[in-house]
Amino acid sequence: MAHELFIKLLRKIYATGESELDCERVRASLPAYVEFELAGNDPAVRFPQVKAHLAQCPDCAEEHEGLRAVASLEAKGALPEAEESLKRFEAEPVQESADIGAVPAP
Amino acid sequence: MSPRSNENWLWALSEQPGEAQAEALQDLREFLLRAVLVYLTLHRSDLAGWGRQAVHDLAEDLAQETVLEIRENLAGFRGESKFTTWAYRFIINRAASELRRQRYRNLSLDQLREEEPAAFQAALSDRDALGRVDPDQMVERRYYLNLLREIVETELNERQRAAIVGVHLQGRSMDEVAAALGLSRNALYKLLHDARKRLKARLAARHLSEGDILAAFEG
Repeated sequence: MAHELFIKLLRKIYATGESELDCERVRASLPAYVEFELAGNDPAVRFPQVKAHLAQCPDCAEEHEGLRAVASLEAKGALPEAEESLKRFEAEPVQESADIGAVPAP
Repeated sequence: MSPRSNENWLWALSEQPGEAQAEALQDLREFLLRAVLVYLTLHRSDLAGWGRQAVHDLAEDLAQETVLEIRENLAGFRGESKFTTWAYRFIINRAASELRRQRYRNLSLDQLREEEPAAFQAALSDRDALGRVDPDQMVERRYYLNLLREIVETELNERQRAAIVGVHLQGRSMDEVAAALGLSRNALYKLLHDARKRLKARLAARHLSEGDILAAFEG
């Protein structure tokens, strides 16, 4: 575990670019990035700087995952009605594996 | 709700108050509500103990606030994605920030400063996950670990070290560490970027590549 932390930090250091996009610009690009990704494309081709930022910034990465899950469901015509989602909060024990709409990483 | 084109969304939301605008606002609110509830469902573990009504109220509040935000930012929609995908990023940003606020409580710069030695000690330890030291690789590994520790201590200022510790070694959120340092998330990203650039330059000055160092740890 200790070395994993060191290796992760080291990879982030070496992946550092001379200039990187800030969080605000990345957030603005996320909708187009996610649709490009969901169409089966490699986002590194069209959005290399956004992809690089997502590897460094945990908060933007979390929001990217969330947007991708929602956009993926909508693209499949499977975005649940509000009532359907709310039912999952009715006295249901929290299960890590019981997720909906999770999209595997490309 | 019938599907709307991007042009139709923009037209209806920009209309003078009336039936078309009211319908579009209602549709937008409904889409946002559905989107944020998917997000909250995916993050149920952060909402342990929250009942249906509390989640419903949170989602309604987030949808309401986001409708206002979107109306203020309509001119920023450039048609690079579906309108709804563009709209969802606003509510997901709000929901993610809210859940992060639930997770953290009053982290301070002092606390990060106090935790710094232990965090570096853990990350730059010369022992593996089971606490063992491999004598064959010990010398080389210890050299690299000590080198990085020395570079961090001599090249980074206190705030840069706190940011590296909080975000990269302790896995805290950017929002949480930014709040502790009194910065915006953007400013924290810049602080971290400057710190990483500095560390990368110092390693390069010693002619050390990523592969050289990783070879000592992945053998």
